[in-house]
Amino acid sequence: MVKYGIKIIIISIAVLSNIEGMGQQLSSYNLEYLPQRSYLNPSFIPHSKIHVGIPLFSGVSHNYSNNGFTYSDLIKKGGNDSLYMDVKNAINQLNNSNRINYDLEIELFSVGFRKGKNYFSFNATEKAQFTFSYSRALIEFLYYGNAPTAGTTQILNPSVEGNHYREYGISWAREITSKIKGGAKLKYLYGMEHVSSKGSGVSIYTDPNDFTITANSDLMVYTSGVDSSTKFNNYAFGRENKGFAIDLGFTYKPIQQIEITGAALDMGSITWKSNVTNYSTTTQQGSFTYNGINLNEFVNNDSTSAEEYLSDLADSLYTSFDIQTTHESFKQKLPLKLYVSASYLLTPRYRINVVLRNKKFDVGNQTDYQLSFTGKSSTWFNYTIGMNKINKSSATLGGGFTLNFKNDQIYFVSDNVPGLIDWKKSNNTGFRAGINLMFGTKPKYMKPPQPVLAPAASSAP
Amino acid sequence: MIPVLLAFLSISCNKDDFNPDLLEPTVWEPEIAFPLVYTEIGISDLANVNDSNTTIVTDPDQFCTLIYNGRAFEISAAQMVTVPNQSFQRQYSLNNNQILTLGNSGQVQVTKTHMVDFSIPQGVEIDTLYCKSGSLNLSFSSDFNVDASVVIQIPSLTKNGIPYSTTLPLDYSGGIPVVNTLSTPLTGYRFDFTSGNTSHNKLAITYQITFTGGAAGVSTGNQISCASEFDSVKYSILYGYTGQQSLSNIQDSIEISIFNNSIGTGSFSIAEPKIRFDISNSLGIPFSARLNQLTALNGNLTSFVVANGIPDPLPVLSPVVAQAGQVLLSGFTLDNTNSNVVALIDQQPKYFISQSQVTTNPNGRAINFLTDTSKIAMDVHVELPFYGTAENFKIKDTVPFSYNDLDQVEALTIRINLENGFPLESSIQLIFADDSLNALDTLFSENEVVIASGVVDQVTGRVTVPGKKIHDHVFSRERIEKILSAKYIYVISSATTFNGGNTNVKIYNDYKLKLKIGAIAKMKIQ
Repeated sequence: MVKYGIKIIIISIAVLSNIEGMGQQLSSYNLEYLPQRSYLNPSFIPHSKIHVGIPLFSGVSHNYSNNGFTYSDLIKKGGNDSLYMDVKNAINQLNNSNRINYDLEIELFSVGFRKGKNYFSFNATEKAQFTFSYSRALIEFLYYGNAPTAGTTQILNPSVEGNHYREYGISWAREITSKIKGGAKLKYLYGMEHVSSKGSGVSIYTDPNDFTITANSDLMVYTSGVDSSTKFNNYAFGRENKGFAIDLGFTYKPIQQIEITGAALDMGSITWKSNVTNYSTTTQQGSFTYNGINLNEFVNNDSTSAEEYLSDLADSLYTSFDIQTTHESFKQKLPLKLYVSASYLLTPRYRINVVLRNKKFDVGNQTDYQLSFTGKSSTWFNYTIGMNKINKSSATLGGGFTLNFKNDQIYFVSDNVPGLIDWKKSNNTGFRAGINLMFGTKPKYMKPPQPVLAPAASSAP
Repeated sequence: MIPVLLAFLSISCNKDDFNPDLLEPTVWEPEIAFPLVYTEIGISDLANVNDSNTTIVTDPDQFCTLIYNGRAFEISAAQMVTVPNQSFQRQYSLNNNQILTLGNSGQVQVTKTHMVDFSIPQGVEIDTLYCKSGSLNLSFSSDFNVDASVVIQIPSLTKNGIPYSTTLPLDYSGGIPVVNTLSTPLTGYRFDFTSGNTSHNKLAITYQITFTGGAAGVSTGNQISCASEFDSVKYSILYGYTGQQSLSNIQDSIEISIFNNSIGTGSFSIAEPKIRFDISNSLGIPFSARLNQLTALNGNLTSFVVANGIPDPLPVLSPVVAQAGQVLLSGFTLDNTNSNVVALIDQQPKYFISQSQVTTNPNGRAINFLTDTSKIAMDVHVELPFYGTAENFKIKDTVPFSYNDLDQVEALTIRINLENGFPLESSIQLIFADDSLNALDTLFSENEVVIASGVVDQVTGRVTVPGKKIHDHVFSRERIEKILSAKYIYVISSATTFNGGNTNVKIYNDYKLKLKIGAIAKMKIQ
């Protein structure tokens, strides 16, 4: 009991501290003893006969990734222990296009068991994903103003994609042949909140001679559940946002030393119907141009006051950008994730792995890479260490382990282990951790063959 | 492993890493470029055309002429002849014989005719008057203790040929005086004041009074009072003789707004100015009209030039009786061939002041007629065709200034973008001044060409290439503070036409001065 208590405390701290972690840690892909690994590839079969995830504690993951700048780039120490924001320095670190990812997963419950060559499992997991893409031009425009970029068209195309939903999944993995394993997972999705944007965004051109501002907009923002307050019961179970998704995966071992795997996750969508509010803006007649106040109208028209003129201008702006609000339901695909890996088994216990992950968002893709080394004991310990290049940021040292006791397991994985300590200077930081109950992990005791003594020869008189 | 994990988490979870209380205020210094105002100024704006007396006439070639209109004088029929209210009163009694007749026969009749003389001012003699409105008010009072009846007849007051006649009963019912009144509208009546072509302003009224009853109580002291009043008589047409009336010192002024803000320096010359006089007359009266003086006056009323070449008397046409209701037009024009009008305009006058005199029937008695709407008027049109030169023609204006919404602006760059389609260049100085009109800051130097002239094609005389200029003015915070304390802006501008003001240029209606003002504000926001 003491052992369990310690584990619970560890996980509780992890959850309650809201520390940075990685949603789907790439490093967990190669931890063979980790049942949650099958969430990354449904063909992966745990080494236990049965696994049970302890509700709320079997898997908590948390990820923050910003390939634009780090905390230290923005917040710096001044005199007298004060802090100041060095925005210019943060902007200098930005790429032309940047992305902030935030993922949070809490496994509510999971269970799985082996049946012959098959492994069946079920999970219920709370998932929240948020992606914000922004250009350097946008931040520079907001911070430095439009004067430094007068004469150039500034394309301000921030995009956002966020989902909060609950996943109920049934998974089936099977050893098809001695070389091939396959797996599939069918997921029912219950959506709670959503926000996403589509369109080419907003572009602004400032004439360098007379500062006339020409703007175009083509932006739609879809939301569900973000502007409502409901009772918990309705929020957690009563919304009309439903969807389905499928995960597929395979493992192929052409020769004893090589293993190739692949998986496609979250092939599906959610139809958002509850508390939907959608906003759109599209400039009419091509673009909106602001030349300043027309003195002819303003000065020569005695009936127009300054307030009326500005009010008319605001109306004109509103009309030109054709800002519309609707409440129509909409269907939104989940961000599709693809995993591909290749491993070379140095020995049956040690392997070198290359893993690629691609996430397809509504606007753009993100591809992450990993080169890792994995080792394992016969049953009690499994570890991995590797270099990860995630979200186009600098390579980071990742690692993770599973520690198996008699019938339980704790695990911890992070794609950026130094980033857990020195997170202020890291673009990515996060981890995944949890406790599982594992049954049937030890190989059956095999009684070695016993020597058969020859019967003693009888002497006949 | 657990201690290691705890170590990771404890480092990561350090809540002291970011404390908002320790965060110093962040200064945000964006540079915002934005357009402020824009306008297109045409000749009507430059010429300050802002009232109904000023027009710009554009010919088919788009050439513009600025016209200032004024009325030197206007005399209406009502000013010449009015009919005041006329009141007449008579008392009638019975003599002893008439009382005896009344006692014997129970009835007696008395008839009296009176010639009333209408009093008309200015010596006006009215022969015939057609009444447009007015009324005849009759009031009778009797202290006889018998019944009486009064018939009033005016043979010279007719309507559709029927003379005016009416009867007023004065029935005795035991009390005296017996009173009766009557008001008769006179619209449509014709007054014949000639008394059979023998006189003027005279009208005969006949009273026929019949008494009925006994003579008891009737004495020669009893009387009937008859009061008649012609009230508010207006004519639709009137014939007669208005006399030799003289209206002198009729003054009028025309504001020449293009020179409103001129300070009188430099030259401004219109090659072919004109002053046109239009006389219109529908009064059937011979007139002698004179324009005693026409003066061009400068802004501070210290200098003037008197026009010459004005005909004396003015050519006035008057309709004869057969032309009643018509308006006869006449007029004349002063131009550079028959007057000093060019010199008048070169004066940059802010006002033209005219002084006129009008006399009726200068040759003595004549048949005059007036309708209620007839009048005589002389309109003056100062025509300034935009063909000429200007050299260093200066104007000055003062406008109130108040602005205080630049608190977060650290520096301001004002960009003035000018595209000039007019064949003239201009310098403008904006001087920001305090309450006491002390200069605080100045925009543009004194003789700096701010607006470049358009280039004139020598063959067509038209501007083919507009003059363009961009001016940037940087205001530091210190300079902004000065300007924010300003209360007035002096605007001093001078204009010189193409080729240094040495060549006459024409101004067309499609010439525009395009102005765009934008700003770059360097903000400092905490």
